[in-house]
Amino acid sequence: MSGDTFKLIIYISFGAILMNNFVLTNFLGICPFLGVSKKLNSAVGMGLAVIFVMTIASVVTNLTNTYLLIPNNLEYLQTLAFILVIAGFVQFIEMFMKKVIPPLYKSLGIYLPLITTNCAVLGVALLNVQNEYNLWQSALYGASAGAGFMLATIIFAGIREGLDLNDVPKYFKGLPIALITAAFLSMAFTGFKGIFG
Amino acid sequence: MKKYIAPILSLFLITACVVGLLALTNHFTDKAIQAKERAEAEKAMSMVLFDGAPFTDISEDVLKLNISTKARIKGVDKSAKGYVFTMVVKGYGGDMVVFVGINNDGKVENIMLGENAETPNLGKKAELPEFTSQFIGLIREDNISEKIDYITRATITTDAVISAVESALIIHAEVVK
Amino acid sequence: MKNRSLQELSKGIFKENPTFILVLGMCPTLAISTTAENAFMMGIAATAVLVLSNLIISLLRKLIPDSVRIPVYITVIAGFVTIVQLLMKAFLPELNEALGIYIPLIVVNCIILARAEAFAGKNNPWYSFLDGLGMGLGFTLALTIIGTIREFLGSGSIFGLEIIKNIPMPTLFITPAGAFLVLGMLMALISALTHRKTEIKDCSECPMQCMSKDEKGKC
Repeated sequence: MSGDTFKLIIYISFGAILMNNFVLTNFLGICPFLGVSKKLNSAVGMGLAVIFVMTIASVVTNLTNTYLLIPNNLEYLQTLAFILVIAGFVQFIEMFMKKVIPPLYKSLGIYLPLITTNCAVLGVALLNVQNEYNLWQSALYGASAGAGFMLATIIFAGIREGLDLNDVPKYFKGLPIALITAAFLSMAFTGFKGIFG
Repeated sequence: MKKYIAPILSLFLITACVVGLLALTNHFTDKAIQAKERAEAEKAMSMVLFDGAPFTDISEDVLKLNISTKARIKGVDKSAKGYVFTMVVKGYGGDMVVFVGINNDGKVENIMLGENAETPNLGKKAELPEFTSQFIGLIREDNISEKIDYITRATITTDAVISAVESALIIHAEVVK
Repeated sequence: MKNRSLQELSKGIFKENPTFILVLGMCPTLAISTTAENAFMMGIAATAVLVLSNLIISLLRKLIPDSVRIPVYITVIAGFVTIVQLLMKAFLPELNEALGIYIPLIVVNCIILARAEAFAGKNNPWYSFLDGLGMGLGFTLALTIIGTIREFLGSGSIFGLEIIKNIPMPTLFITPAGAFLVLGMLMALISALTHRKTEIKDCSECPMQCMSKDEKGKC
């Protein structure tokens, strides 16, 4: 593996996890982020499911783009094709998991409906195209973005578990305090921006 | 199985209609986009070859000559006043576009930077007239890197612009033969 | 009849405002609201898609088989989003650059699919049109308010007009953190005004979870 490739791997993965954290900087995946992050356990399960889905989505959309859309000059169909392909694939995998690997379905499968087609998944597919990543770079970016999501969600869940035990002002209960917490978390993550200069 | 046919067929039909509508829209907007891009390119060309309009795109013929240069050709346009070479060269932040206008005397009339991702306050300074005007009047025989003041701490950017101009001059020499 | 029309239109703006009450479509709300103008244009784009998709889905509602209705809705919505995107690329390129991938991401904006499923699929075109228009305007309103606040507090201008010139403004409000902060504060305010606790909705409410749902709404 050449030095350049290695540098690219670090840049893509750390970039997605820390410097441009998918949720806290790019705002992709807010729904599942805010919704599930109350318990630490669900956060981990959800996070793994997200990494799984986003990697698959990246691979599948990259292949669709490279072998179907670009050769036929159909780039304008990206949005439509991507979403149908992602939705179909994840649906298929969910059914497959349910029938063939029930224990895996029990721990990850229940989160699949929450993340099938939302900002994060379609977003990563579109960003792969925008950044002109090839197949392995797309897969890496998808996995890293998912990992970044998981990291943010776990930290968030940890904070909120503690927050629930405290006295939160009446009108801030629920969503408002969650958002303000996310604000501080986002601020913390901007500290990572300068790491690679 | 029968109960699946009707739904899937209608889904297919609707998708086909949507795709058809999109193809139509794409065709229509594509023309608008291309016209805009051509207009912008011609504006840039007029800045590097004064009173050069109208321009004729001869990119295809030049590309066939297969001249090997450090910078690659994005476009070549011919005009009564000379030629404009739209070069793409790798700068510090990635590819950058350099417009080089060469007049009928074989001298560089003017150059201009197009899209680039150079560093603000460093490589980006190559966009300024203080830098680009140094290239005015250069000919193929010149050793350009000796005649140009390098931008401090932006050597890569400067080298990139220089190779774009050198490449343009080389191609120009072949084209006018 | 006139009363109901007004009701269908206005519910999206106030009582069932997609952003502040229904808590849908959070992604673009947080991402695009850095300036009032971007926020407003994003709202308009989403409204255009919402209105058109509601209209078409309502017109076709008797022809769409129930079992594939979600994929059909998604296809129609994606179609209109792509049309809006292409038109923007051709005629409003700077806006296209500013809004970036959030234009195609309108497809997965829960608001649009939720209205298709909850309303357009079951009501006539006129009311569906009003519903879409109302929801879209409500979304645009919410987005613009947030955008104006963030732009003003973060850069001292509103819609590009510089209001505060010499005092440096806390650029925090233009950062992602600022987005969360402003939205959180506004939600608390809304909660106080409506005397209701704002529940956190996760995506399980979004119809996009699975491709085929039965009449009860289960996957």
